Amino acid sequence: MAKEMTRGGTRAAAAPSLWNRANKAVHRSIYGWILLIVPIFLFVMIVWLPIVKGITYSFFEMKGFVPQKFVGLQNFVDVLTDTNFLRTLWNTVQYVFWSLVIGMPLPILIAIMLNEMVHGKGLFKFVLYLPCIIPMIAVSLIWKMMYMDGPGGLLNMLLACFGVEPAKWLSNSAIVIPLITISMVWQGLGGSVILYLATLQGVNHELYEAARIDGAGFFSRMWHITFPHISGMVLLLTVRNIIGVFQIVEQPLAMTGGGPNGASMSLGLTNYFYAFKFGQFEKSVALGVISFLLMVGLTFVYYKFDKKFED
Amino acid sequence: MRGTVLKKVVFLSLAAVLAFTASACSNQAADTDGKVVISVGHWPTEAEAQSYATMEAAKEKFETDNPNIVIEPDNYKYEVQTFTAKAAANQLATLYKTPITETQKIIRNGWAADITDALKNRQWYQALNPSLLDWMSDENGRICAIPVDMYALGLFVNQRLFREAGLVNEDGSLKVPETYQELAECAQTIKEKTGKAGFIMPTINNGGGWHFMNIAWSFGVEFMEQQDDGSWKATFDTQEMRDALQYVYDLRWQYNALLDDTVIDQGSMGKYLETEQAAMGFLSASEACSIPQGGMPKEDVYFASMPAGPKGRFAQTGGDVQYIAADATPEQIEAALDWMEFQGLGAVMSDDALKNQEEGIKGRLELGRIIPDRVPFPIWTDGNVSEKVNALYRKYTNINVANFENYFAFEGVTIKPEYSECTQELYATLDKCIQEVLTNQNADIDGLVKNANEEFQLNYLNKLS
Repeated sequence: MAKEMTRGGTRAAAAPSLWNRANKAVHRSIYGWILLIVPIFLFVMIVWLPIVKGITYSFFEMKGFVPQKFVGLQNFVDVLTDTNFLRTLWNTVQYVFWSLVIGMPLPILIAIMLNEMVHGKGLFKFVLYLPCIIPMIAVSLIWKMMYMDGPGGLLNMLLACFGVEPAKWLSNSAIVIPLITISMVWQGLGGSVILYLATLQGVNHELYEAARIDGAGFFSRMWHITFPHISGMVLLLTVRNIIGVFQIVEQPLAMTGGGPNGASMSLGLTNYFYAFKFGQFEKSVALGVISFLLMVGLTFVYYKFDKKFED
Repeated sequence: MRGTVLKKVVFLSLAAVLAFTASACSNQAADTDGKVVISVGHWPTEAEAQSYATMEAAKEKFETDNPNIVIEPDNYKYEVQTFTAKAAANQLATLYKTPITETQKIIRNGWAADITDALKNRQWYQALNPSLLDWMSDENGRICAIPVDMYALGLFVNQRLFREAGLVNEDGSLKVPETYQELAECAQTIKEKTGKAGFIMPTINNGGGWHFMNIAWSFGVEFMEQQDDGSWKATFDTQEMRDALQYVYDLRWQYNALLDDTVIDQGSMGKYLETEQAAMGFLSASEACSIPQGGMPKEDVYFASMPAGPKGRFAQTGGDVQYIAADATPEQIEAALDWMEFQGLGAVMSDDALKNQEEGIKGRLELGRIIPDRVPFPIWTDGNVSEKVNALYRKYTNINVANFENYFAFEGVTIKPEYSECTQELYATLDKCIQEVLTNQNADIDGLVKNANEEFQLNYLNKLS
């Protein structure tokens, strides 16, 4: 607008007409704009304002939620030099890794199987989707009982039926992250299966028939027809999965409290503890900003790789 | 014309939303019609019929006696997940309550009003137990909190499991452990003879560290000390600390006296004790009195002094504390203190206050809780207050008082408050040590202690401004 105004009278006279055009555009869809007022207001208040405030506060010393003194990058230095930071970051990466290893192929396989099913498809979809409607904390507590150490744990009771000694589950720091990840995958599986299934059902069956006539086997059909068609959905769910799992809080909070000895502590849980256990809000928002930047970086890298792969 | 209507619609919508937002941002009710309005937190819900009726009756009487004050009940009870958000949004009640572990955090964050002058005028300041003063004060020595229910930890004992395990003296009395060594041996016997855990302690959400403090102190550990220049130094990289941690390790791996579950918070510890899955644990007196509410017969509850370690017996103090919201007016502060006094929570015990105390005791009786024969911990040094309340307790006690005598004797027990700096951070650091020695049979105790001391110094003490 400012650029237009500097270009002499003729161009300057065009400015009101631009305003008029905008005005007309608003009036053309007046009810749409009215309907948008509340969502925009809520979006700004609930999403953008906290993000902007959070980033701003991360440069301040805080008293409660009230910024007191500008401290530059000190909060970030405090968070990054915490002796637990690198371990917690590595734990979080492990959560993401295991969620990809366990959580990505499984729904694809199940969706392919469901897509081939003739009878009982509805029932299976219902059963698979059921865990999605259970609150996350309830799921975590159910799995905590499954994983409980000693003969009273449900998995150990199962093992006892086969004469196997009770195993250590959540108290085993070597496997605690994959175990928590399994509970997450169990809950989220149904949603992913439904999305993959919807994509698979959009694939033209004539392609499969043509491939079959050309002598393509099952795996060849999967590789050349199915996977190219669902690759977009795989990309979408992978990015969503990385972003979602990177923020994991509730599951380790409910199942292990971050233990044993910090073995299941995630960045999200550390953030929660900073804010609600220790009342160190400046460190909490600083860690939030660091996590945000890490996720932006990860997503960027992923897209780069994906583009390279597609090229 | 249409444009004008549109502008009006937009303007009115925004005005309505902003007005709603603004009204939701202030909780401190202004004086209305010359009356002072205060909201009182922790108010029971209608579902808690007995407590609700008691409080509503007290409110009616108070408002009749003080026609210039209006009480607004607020059902919010402190919980770690929501408290800070409510405090930040200025949504706390005028008078609210939290566990004492949160007190310094609340004062530091400016969420509680300075009530020093008001307390001095009422002679409460002078009557407050001096050992509690530091805890209730900010860095300038100004009082911002009032303790209402204090305790020192004790050893909860399930008599039935003790008898079943044969831990009984010749005269029929229980072989209650006097030392930590005896505790380990008793716990082992119970596990062997009954299959139930002999001892239980929390391991997560800072509970492990909190309980471990008592053991560590009795082994001679001091966790931090202030230097001449005002800074703090972590001081628990010592042999005493290694011995204390080795003791917890031995409870698990040598005596096999603990539960198989190693992910235990304070709440689930209570459940294990209520359902008689564990025979001993450290509890506050009020927690011990609440255990029968979960089903355990109150006759089986025995409450003893904390065991002794090589350096003596130590019991940590804790309790509940009330605050007045930071933005309360002087009139609201006075009204809130009037209400506390009426409730029997102040340094003056009027007839009305005594009656309210009595109603509270009756309510606890109806819930099936234990009423011991005295207040666990005197908050006010004025003997009159304690004596009047103790007389009420004696009137309604519902147990064999001998079962609590060992605890109340406090014989040789050093009652010790929490540290004033980085308390929760220390507990979190110790939680990790406890988890490691309870889950890893090959735990490197030496390395653990070294790391914990270093971590506590670098991550927390060095960052104190």
